[in-house]
Amino acid sequence: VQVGGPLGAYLTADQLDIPMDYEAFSAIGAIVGHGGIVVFDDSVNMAAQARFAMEFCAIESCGKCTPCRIGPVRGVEVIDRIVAGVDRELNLGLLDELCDTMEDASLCAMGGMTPYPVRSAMRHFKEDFGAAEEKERVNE
Amino acid sequence: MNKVTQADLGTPAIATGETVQIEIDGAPTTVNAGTSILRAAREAGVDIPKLCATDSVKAFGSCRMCLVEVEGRRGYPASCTTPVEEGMKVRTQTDALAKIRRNVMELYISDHPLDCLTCAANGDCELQDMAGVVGLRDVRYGFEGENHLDLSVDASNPYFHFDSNKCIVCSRCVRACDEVQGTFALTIQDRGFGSRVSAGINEAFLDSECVSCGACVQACPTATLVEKSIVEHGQPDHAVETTCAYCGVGCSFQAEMKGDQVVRMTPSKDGQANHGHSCVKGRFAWGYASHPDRVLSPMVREKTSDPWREVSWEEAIGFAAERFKQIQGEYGRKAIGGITSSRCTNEEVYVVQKLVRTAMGNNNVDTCARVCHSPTGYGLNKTLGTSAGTQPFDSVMDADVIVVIGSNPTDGHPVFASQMKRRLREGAKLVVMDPREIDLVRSARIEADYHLPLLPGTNVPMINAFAHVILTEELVDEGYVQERCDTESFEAWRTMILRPENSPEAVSEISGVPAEDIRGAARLYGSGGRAAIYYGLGVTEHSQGSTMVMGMANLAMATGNIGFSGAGVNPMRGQNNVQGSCDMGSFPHELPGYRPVGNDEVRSSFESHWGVSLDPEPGYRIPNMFDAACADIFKGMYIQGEDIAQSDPNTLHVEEALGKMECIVVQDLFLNETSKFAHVFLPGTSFLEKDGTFTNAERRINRVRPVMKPRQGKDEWQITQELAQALGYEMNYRTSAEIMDEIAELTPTFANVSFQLLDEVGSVQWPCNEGAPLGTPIMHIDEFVRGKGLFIETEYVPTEERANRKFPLLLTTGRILSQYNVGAQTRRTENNVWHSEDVLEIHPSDAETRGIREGDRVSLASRKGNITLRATITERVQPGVVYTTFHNPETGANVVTTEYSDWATSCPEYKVTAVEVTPATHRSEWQRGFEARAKQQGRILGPS
Repeated sequence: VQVGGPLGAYLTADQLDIPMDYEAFSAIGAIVGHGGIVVFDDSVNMAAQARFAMEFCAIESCGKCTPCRIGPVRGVEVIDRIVAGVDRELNLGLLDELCDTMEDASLCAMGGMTPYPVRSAMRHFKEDFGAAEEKERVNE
Repeated sequence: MNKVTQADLGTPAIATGETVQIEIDGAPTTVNAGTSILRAAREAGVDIPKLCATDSVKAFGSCRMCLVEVEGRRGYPASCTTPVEEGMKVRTQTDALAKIRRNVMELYISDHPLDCLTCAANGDCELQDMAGVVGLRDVRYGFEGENHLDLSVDASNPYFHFDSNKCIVCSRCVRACDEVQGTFALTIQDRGFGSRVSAGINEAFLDSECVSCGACVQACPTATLVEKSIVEHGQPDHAVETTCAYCGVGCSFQAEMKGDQVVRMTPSKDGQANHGHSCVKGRFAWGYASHPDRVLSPMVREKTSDPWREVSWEEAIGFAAERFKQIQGEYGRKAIGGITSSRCTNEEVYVVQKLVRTAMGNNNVDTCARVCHSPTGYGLNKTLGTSAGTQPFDSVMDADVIVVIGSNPTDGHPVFASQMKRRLREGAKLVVMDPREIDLVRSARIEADYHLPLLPGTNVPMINAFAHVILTEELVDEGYVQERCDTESFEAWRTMILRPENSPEAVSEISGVPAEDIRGAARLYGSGGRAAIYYGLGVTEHSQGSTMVMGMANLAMATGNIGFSGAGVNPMRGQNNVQGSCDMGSFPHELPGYRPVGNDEVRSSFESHWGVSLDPEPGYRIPNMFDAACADIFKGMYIQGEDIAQSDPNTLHVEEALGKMECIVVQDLFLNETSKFAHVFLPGTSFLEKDGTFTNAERRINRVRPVMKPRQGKDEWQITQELAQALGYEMNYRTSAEIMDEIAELTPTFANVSFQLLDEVGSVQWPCNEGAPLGTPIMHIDEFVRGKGLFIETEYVPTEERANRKFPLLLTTGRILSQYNVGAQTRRTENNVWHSEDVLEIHPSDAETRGIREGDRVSLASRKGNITLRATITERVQPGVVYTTFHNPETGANVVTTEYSDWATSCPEYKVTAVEVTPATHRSEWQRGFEARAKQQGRILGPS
């Protein structure tokens, strides 16, 4: 589920028992936000959802500060490369650093919170970011 | 960009008067409360990386390079937008900050061309510098992603490129246009990744509202907005601080040089008149100094129909001296004279008037102030005791009510206009008294509270009606009048003003302005707080110019609005050194410092220093010189840098006078209109070659420093000195500094002025003497210079120049932003793209009844002469009034104007001429003659 709007973090099935309050959510890197909850079934591709978060930010950004103006455009491109298996480890690291930059340096919460859905998707659904593919390739 | 000379402290200075203690990277420092952390750090010598911050505009916080850590605060605040607080502990360098800065820079560079080596900003690029500072080594995003690297370059502006490919969207240009210039021509178009700087709505710069002041170019940290001169020549290697030679604002500039090639003019942040701002003329229009038309060799000719012959300095000066001596032998001592130039330095002007008084032995010296602000000198001297404005420019920032009369600051004095507009945006009220709807009446974020579009020639009844309201509605500052003014004169003035013909209702009939607007504006002036009057030639160039100046001074005294910041009566002086040329004694009746030649004590102080006896009789004023020439009693003139044949009224009369003289010596950069009547041409120097001082409209004496040697081989004061010697008077200055030392010795208001002082403190405002060792920004603080302020009765006497059935319209003339005066300089620059010809503004209803369409060639005829020019139809002028400029000699606007003039000072009535406008098919007779003469006069023979 995604709680709190398009900039809210994704939670896994295991996390559904966490009380819906600010502190508890904050402790796991999530937000209550506007309180809306979006439920996804297991057919969802979370890399696509992470990409969507970056794309959403790119569309909604006012463009004033650099992390939010350029960051999400690069974010989309990096996720595309990850999914395509291009320098996966390097790009995963880059995506993580980009999230740091956007979170620490954006002027407002638009760029500052875009990393929430991206990071939670990466953390909880690694396989959607091509981890499985990689494994398969190793197994072959 | 301009790192050759000027440090950028990141955010504007804050003057709160209180200080706080903070700690930056462990070192304690004391700064003004309210200062940004960024500036506090830079003041303490700690450079925090930055891109979007620059100290000419407010902090914006967008680049995210200047983030810092503050003890006890979460996250990484931007140091530019975070003000210091007592006890704050700031860290500017940590591993976390280094990583953030490097990663933000990586994002920037992922959308930036990598052509640094061939980029015009190479060596002066803040993006390049910051990439180095943060240690960016790799762009892991690659360069294949979405980007802005294939946008086209906008080269429409003649002076700078706009290359959006290189833009980092820091908004410095947009903010400079808004905050510094106040034109609001630039914007960020679109948003998010699509954000792009745009002039207007995706317009080319040239087609937009941009006024080409260059504030955006100066603010740009990259090569996005870059001077074409930098593209052509590369980066400067040194800079020289000097003063602009255009209008009376007197902006300080850094002439940025490569050897003796100017590559850029950048306004000085330390400039006390301009505070780092400039206009299109000062920043960009300096190319005339190296224009091929520039004459670099002395020339002579027997008759004005002969071609010019290039000769040596000795021959030219000898030729001039011989002729002058011959004339004096034949027609008497007073048959020759001189005109000093308000474009030249104080020192150059001083030696010319000295030459006239000593070597020529008479007082026939005058200056172009005769035709512009002589009524200011007269009127303010009579009422207040000084022939100059009362305030520094910065005073406007304290004004609550600003009254602009007959002045068009956004065109004539653009840098001061930007400051005024800044104050207006802060909420000051504005009254504009002008026949035309000038830009100040309504422009971006500015709207006049009252525009009084009075008919040309009705200034005096209008100011009397203001006074009537002040008196009848009890808005007089009685205490101020009692304490500071001559009460007897006040009573007489009161009696005169209270006559019924001065009521707003009566004046409304004459001026065409509704009485309630007059009342409202006068009430605002009298009760709105600190009220300041700024006025221009729309006040002085009338038959009652001096009366109007005194009327304004009366009004200011009656309401207690002189003697403190935010108030005053301020002439907007037209030329760079017109204040100075007046101060230097360029008047037939006054020695330097406005002291009468008729006064024995004054004269003897000069006589003992100069070693001659001086003529106690005042000499000819310029118009008297013309009249005397027509009467065959005035036969020779030495004219320094002034084009009287183009600029003075009633051209046909001037031409007749000049044509009758036997020796005219023109000292100028170019073969101007007057030189067509000259026998000797002595090439002068541009401001880039001059060493001396200019005095601006706020009495500020500023240094002009040479950035190159005189291109024709001599300083102008040397030329004058050699002419004086050839005429038999010994002048032996070795430097221009020595001339200033003599001025200081002989002129009480300049007693403390020296080049050394100016080099130490930048500039001073006279009086600068024992009582005020560093000058006097505001005059008349506790007492008027003359003692008690004198009210002078200002009875309205209508001009004799009246509209009638044959000449039903009133012509008024003025100037435009891109051109300057007779255009000798600006016409020889790219400024022509904005204004290539003089056009006639006419109201739609007047155009319609005459069958005139937009762009039609029309004949403009007065009782004096007629010319043709193109018409433009606009509601900027009111019905019954037409307007044009006089920048182009081939137009001949002054063929039409009359020699009616101010009763006190002979300042011509340029602003009122009765005319008729009709469709025309061919150029006027005068204009055809002009073309023929231009061809004939262009002939120059090389040295024989």
